[in-house]
Amino acid sequence: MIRVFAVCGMGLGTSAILKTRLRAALDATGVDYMLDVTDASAARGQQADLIFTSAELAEGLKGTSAKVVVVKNFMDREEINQKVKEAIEELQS
Amino acid sequence: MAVLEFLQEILSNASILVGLLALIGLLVARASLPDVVTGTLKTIIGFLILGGGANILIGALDPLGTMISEGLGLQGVVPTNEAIVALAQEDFGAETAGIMGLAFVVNLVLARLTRLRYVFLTGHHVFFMAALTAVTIGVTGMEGWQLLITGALITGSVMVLMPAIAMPFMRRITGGEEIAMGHFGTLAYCAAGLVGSKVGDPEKSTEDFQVPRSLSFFRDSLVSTAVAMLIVYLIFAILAGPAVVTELAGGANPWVFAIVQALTFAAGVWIILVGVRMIIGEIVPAFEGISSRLIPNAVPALDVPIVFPYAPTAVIIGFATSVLGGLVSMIFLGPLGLALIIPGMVPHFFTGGGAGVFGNAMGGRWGAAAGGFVNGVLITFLPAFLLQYMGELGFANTTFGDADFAWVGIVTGFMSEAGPALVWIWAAVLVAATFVFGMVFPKLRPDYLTQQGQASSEAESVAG
Repeated sequence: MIRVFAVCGMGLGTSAILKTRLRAALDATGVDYMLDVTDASAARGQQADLIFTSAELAEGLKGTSAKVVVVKNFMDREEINQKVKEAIEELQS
Repeated sequence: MAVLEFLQEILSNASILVGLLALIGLLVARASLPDVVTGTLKTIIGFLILGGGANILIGALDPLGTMISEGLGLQGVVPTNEAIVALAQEDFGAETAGIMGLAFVVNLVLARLTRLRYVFLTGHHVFFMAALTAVTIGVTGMEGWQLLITGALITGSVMVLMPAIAMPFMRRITGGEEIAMGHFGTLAYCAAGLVGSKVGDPEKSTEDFQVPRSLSFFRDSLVSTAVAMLIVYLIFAILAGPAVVTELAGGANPWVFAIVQALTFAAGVWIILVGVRMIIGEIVPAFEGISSRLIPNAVPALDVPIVFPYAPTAVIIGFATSVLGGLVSMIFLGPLGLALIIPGMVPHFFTGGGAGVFGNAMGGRWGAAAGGFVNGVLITFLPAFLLQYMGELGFANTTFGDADFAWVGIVTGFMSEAGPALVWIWAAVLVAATFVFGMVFPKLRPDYLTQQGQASSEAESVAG
């Protein structure tokens, strides 16, 4: 079971959109996962395996044990599918 | 009989009703059974967390209110959407849930029937707008199905209208029409864009220079709220004087008390956010799933940070000048007999940042600065006028922060005071506007550019 966060500034608007795309992408990889939306402060205080966020917020998440993946365009399903696939492969190897 | 009473009781419980809304959404979106169960439960628990956070927040907000009234003789208000919405749930919880659910339906119907094919996906703002209309209509005594339908028509219409009005600016920012602005600060963004186009030159963009990285901690809303509230609480503790604050603190050290209350404020807002997040995290994906099936060519209207990457420096400039605009406006509030609106950092960061991006797209660096300032002035004066239409909640030391909540609330409240008939007329006007705007102003349509492209290629082929 891998734990995944979608992170944006407030953990409300953008991350909720990101979540729907991440869910589709994660389902496609077939891994067992738990997916939550949150803000940067909360993400730092919790254990996760994978964090998807924007470039600005990734900076502040560097200290966490999770692998931080920067998403450029939150609407771009292809970018997200590609990055989820790569991240999962890296985690499993 | 007992069963009926139980049903009635459970359906008038706001948390259950919000859960029911999520349940319907998840079922219609054909989510899997575990997803339906966890989603529904999380939504209900999120709503209960919201109430807990509201109580913590009031505990910290009350002493601030006293310090401001003792120090300056004014009502002090810190506009924070999350806070006022959480407070409103006590009296208008069921109404908010009902309006929210119906507003999604109104949005889908309008996006399908009119030429404004926008689907508003910023769930927490729909939740806030639903609470705002429930309060401004409800305080004058209108209730039941009339309140639900008018509230949903108003909320659902602005969910289509505001993204449409911002679309000409969004094209300049993103260079396309794939995303629309779905954030209820849009009146201020458009004002920022218009003012920006008058004062500056779009060629001299803010993005030609860099802003120090150290300012980016403001992106972390918990930290920025805490820092700003420390400043606010300490200033008003000084103005009120140690005697007053010591009394509030029950004899404890006044400065320690002020510091702890300021941080408690931030804690309260954060807890409410956790609650809102749990509600929205389930409802938005369900709504998106439904809308993508019913309106495949719809354009999603998204939360304001979606434009931040297009001009990150303009975000910081807009935020700074927005706070400045708020501080300058504050001076005029007292003499005008209005409540003292203290700049809330969360609204100023997100809407000031958005105004900066809009201003920059239309008028470069000066446009960004002027745009942020205009936003700051608007989100100070408009919430001050809104207070009188919010009944008892108008005395709560907090209110709605963003421009669209304020203007929609002021107009709705004004109509509501004039009588139920006018609320219906106002709702009908907004619905009619979605149809008329789509026909009369082609630039507001989501596919304006592609249609133009088709039109010109058709013209060419005719000419050829």
